[in-house]
Amino acid sequence: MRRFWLIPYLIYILAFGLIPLILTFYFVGFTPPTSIKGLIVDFPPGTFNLALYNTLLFATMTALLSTMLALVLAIRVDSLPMKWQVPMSLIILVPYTIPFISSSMIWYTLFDPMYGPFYYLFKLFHIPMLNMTTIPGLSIWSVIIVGVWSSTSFAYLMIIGGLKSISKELKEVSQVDGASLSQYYSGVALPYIFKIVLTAFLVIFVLQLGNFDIPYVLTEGGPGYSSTTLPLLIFDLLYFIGDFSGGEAAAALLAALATLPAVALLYVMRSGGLYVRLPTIKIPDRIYDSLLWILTVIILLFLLFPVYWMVVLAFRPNIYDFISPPILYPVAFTINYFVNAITNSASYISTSLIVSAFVALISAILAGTASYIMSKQNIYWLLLITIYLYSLPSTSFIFPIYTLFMNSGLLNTWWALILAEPIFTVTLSAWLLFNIYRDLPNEYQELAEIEGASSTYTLFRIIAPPITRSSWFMVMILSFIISWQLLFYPLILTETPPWLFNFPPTGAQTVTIFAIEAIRSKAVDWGGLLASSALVVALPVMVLSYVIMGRLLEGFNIGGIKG
Amino acid sequence: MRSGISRTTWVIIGVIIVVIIAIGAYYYIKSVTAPKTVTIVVVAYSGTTAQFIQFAGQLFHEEHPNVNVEVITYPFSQYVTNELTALEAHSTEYDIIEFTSTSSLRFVPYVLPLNPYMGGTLFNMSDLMAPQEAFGGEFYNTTTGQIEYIGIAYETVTYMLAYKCSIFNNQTLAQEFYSEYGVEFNPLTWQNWTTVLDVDQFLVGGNGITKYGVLIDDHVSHGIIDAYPAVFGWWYMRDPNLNDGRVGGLPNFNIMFYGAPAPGCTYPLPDFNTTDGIEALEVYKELVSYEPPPNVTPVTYDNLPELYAEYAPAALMFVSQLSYLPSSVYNDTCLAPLPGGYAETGTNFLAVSKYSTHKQLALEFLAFLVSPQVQVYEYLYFHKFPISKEAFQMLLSNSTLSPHDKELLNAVYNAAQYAWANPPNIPPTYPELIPSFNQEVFEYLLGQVSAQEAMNTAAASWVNALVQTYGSCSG
Repeated sequence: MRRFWLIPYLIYILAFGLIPLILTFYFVGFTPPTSIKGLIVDFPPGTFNLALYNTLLFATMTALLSTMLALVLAIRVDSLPMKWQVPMSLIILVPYTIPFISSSMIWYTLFDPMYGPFYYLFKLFHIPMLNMTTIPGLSIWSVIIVGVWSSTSFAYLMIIGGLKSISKELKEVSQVDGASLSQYYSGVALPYIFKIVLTAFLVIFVLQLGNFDIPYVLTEGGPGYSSTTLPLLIFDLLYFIGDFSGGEAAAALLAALATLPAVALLYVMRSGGLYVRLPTIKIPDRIYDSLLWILTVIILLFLLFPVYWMVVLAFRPNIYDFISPPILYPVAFTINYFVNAITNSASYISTSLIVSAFVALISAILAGTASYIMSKQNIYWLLLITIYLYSLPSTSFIFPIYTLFMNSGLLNTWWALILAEPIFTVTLSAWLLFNIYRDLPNEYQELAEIEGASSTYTLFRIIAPPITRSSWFMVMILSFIISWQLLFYPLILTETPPWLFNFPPTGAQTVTIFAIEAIRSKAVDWGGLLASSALVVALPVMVLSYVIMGRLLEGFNIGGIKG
Repeated sequence: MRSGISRTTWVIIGVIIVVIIAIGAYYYIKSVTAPKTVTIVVVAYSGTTAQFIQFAGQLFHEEHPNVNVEVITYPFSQYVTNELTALEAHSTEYDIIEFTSTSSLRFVPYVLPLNPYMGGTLFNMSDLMAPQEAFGGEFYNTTTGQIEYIGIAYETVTYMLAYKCSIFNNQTLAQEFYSEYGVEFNPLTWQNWTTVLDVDQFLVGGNGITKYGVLIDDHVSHGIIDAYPAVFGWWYMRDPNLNDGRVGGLPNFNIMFYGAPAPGCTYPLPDFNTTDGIEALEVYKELVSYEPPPNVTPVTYDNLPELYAEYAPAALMFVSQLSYLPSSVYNDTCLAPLPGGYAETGTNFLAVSKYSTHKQLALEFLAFLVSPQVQVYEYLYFHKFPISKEAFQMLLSNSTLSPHDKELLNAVYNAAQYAWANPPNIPPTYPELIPSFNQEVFEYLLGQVSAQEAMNTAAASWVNALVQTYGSCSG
């Protein structure tokens, strides 16, 4: 296969990734190692070590717990009849549709042991009534809980995509052989998708290493620095101390560290693949099914209760917000906040819809084609660059990007976002699809070449649509949601709310800016602005996910190759 | 050989390319044929004050028809990130930028020094509230010992005592209180913090009239650094050993440092680990005991208006928080200075970007914005308190304003003259001073350390930060 379709991907990551990264150091100066020492000397003694510990703890526990929860959910959904899989998947995806900013604030109200639902939890288990976010040592665990909550859906999407890639014939053969559900999942499915599960863990691990939003909104890294992570420390170095040179150097170093686990996995895969033989668990189907349901209900309760709480707050008068013990069910109803939120957010939502749709499309096309070539032709150096760029925080690119759009007059337009945002999604998509394509038999390509098909025909008419369609849909949904959730780029590259009645439309602020406006300097009004705004900005993504989820869950049939 | 993309797809791609070219041509033609006007771009955080700036911009345009003023707004929690990114990229997009008192020093490298324009050449500084300007608008250069003006305050924001008129004007309660404690119930007469504690005991402890006492911010993430100086100010202004004749302390260092540099140093040392500071801390703890425990439900900038509205007779708050109150509570709220007749401040500033291509016009607009004639509208239309003293007088003599409005205006005007009880805003404030101080005080509030231990530990951290920033003292 010719490498023609590698070029668009290369051009893009050069233009919006590597070159801006290098130019950033031109802007802010680059004087290692003295610039990095600001991380240590500009803060109280011990802060750097504490931030490093918090970062590793946060990333590891969030990735581990969310992957485990997602695995349980994915197995449960995969073993259900098809008609239940889409609605269940939609329910599981709900937390991921809510912007990080809003979900952190919802959790902030949850953690209040006097006015939030945790009051009953403390009563039930006779625990001292303390607000986790205010206790050193516990505050980082409040960040971890929110991290797990917001990452489980993401991991689920990847794992269910992997389970759907298992051919139906394989499952049928297992059933014919008399394997129980537990034997099938433990002895066949899990070993088959182990690489995907490990990739899900690593992707979330890398994502959480650089996660800034959750600790920033929930605890501001406090009390003191007890829940500060390295991205937050770097942010402080950049914007509170004004040491841009040190901050950018530290960000580049952090990203390099973040790629190490991914590099390790790559090495293992390169040296012979990653097939693990797991112990086969034999449990009678009825017990296995019941266990799965019990675990699923508990996990769904964890995922959905905050959303339920958000809906309760959004539709009740705010005089009920500061009552102890708190009222968990609707006692009075008002639609005012919701109507107000919908009216005010309509233009922001249209911008986000259009921008995110384009970003999803660009990501799927650029990554879907390039990752196939990378994986089949073993272009590991490009994968390494891809993972590194994915690990970098948005501040690593922003100065040259901002200058480019300022000079070309594209600031505050959709084009700036459509062109700039895919750097975060195209790299992740390429990484995910690389792993999926590793397992795709080469026979498809060989047959196509024998038939005389061009590279373009092979990629778009053989590989993508019929065979790996579910994977393409998966990366499109992920890219859409990631773009939907972005805050930093829209904040810097846009200036005004969208006004759609000009031609061309002016203004390009997105829903995340609308959501954070609703918070003001942290919400005074729990329900009125915060909850209803969060609900409104999550709705379009929920609808879109519902539409696409069916396509994803149809899966594909690699087993079409006989012999 | 089969081609990968169908003819239809190529046609669609071609149409998209033509559309893109057409849009680009439209933009080009529009830019070339547009009439020549100058646009001053102001970047501010979203809210009522941004609306006032835009309103002032429209008035400015009426006087200067070829000048437009455009206000771009960002969420308050993100404005620092946004503005600093643009300025670090040497952006010419923004002519005027906004910042708060506590973030002002971060903008020093990017803004035009205003000293040449003070003293009547453009800005009438005698008309502007000096304490408001001092905390955030001035930068004390420790190398030269000179004060540089970096921004102009355009509204008055004071941290003072808000109280429910209906409770404190109740004659029955007033008589009971007086007979029990021997001091007036009226907050306008309070001379010290002991009276505040007496009120807490009277309303909460004794009679259960209100659920909480006089609310004070105790949020470990930030609020403690706002609340403690408000209390400590009473001691600071009475002790010349602390203030060294400067009632508000040295600019940028303010009252949590001694009023003069330490011998052999270019900077003053912390003063809160003294007997006065510890007494103030003990009073602060007692105030906090009349509200939810800070490790359960911290009283924060965000929830304080709500808690005050529902459960408390009074609260220490910024007057900008009044707009968050339900209208019934707002109309029942009166204002008083902090006990002893002083206040804290925390207002917003506008500065001219040094990358602006319209510096002179930007300065003229700023001067216009803070002129009395324009400042009057700030309260009339937007219910924000003006920075101009003359505007205050004009409003107080305005017959269309209600007695309640005039009471609020009078209270803020008087308090603003003495709003010097401020926390520091030197460079290590955010990364080092606030976290270390707040953490120690928080542990003291929870009973984990003694007051002396808390203050000594915090002071040691502050001294370390000073040495890192300004160097060691000689001798």
